[in-house]
Amino acid sequence: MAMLHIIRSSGYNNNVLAQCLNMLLPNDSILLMDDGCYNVNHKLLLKAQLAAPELKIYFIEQHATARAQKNTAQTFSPTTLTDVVTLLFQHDNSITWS
Amino acid sequence: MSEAIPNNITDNMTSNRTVAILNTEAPFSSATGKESLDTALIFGSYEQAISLFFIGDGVFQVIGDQNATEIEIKDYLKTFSALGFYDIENIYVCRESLTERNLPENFHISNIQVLSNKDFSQRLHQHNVIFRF
Repeated sequence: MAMLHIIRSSGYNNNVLAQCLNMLLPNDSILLMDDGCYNVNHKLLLKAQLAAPELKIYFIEQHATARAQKNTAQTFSPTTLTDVVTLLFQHDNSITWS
Repeated sequence: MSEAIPNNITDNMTSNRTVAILNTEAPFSSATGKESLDTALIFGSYEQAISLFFIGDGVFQVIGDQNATEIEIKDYLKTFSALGFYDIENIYVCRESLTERNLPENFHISNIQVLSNKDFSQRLHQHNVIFRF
C-alpha cells in the first residue's frame, strides 16, 4: 500500500522527519507542508532521495515561498493545496507528521 | 438507526476499515499519551478494529515499573489494562526504538509484539486510517 507522508514541522527542531523516513517504504511519497517546507534542503531528505531516486517529494510552493525556502537541488516537486486532494487519493492512506 | 442511513454510508462506518494509532511521545510531560489511549478506547467501544503502534519516545509509555503517582501525576497507564475489554489486541512496539534507548522488553501490558523497523512499517501501512499522537 502506498502511503502519503505529510510533514508539517522542521526537521531541525525535532526528529519527526527522521521518524518518518524510518517508516518509508517503496511507493510512498512525501509532502512538505507549513513548517515542513523548512526541510526542502534537509540532508536527510536529500539522502533519502539519492538512495531511492523514484521517491516523490512534494512541497506546497506557497508555503515554501512565504518562508523564503527554495529547493536548491530542484528534485522536489512544487504543488498547491488544491492538488493535495488528488495526491491524497493517489495513495492508499496518509500519515501526518506534525 | 441503521434504517435511516443508506447502506453505502453504513458500509463505510463498519469495522472493515482498520484504524492505527501511532504513539511517538513519552507519557508524562504532556497529555498526548492519555488522549491517544482515550481515542483508542472510544474506537474500541464502537467495535472499530484498531491497532496501537509505539515508536520513538512512544515506547516509554509501555515500559514496565513506572510510577506516576510518585511525581503526583494521575496514573493513566493503568487504563492500558482496559484495552483487553475492548478487544484491542494488536499492540506493536518498534524494536529499534527500544534498542536506541537501551530498554529491555519489559512492558506493563501483555500482548505486546515487538517488531523490527521494517515489519513495524509494513504493519502500519496495512491500515486505512492512521492517527499520530
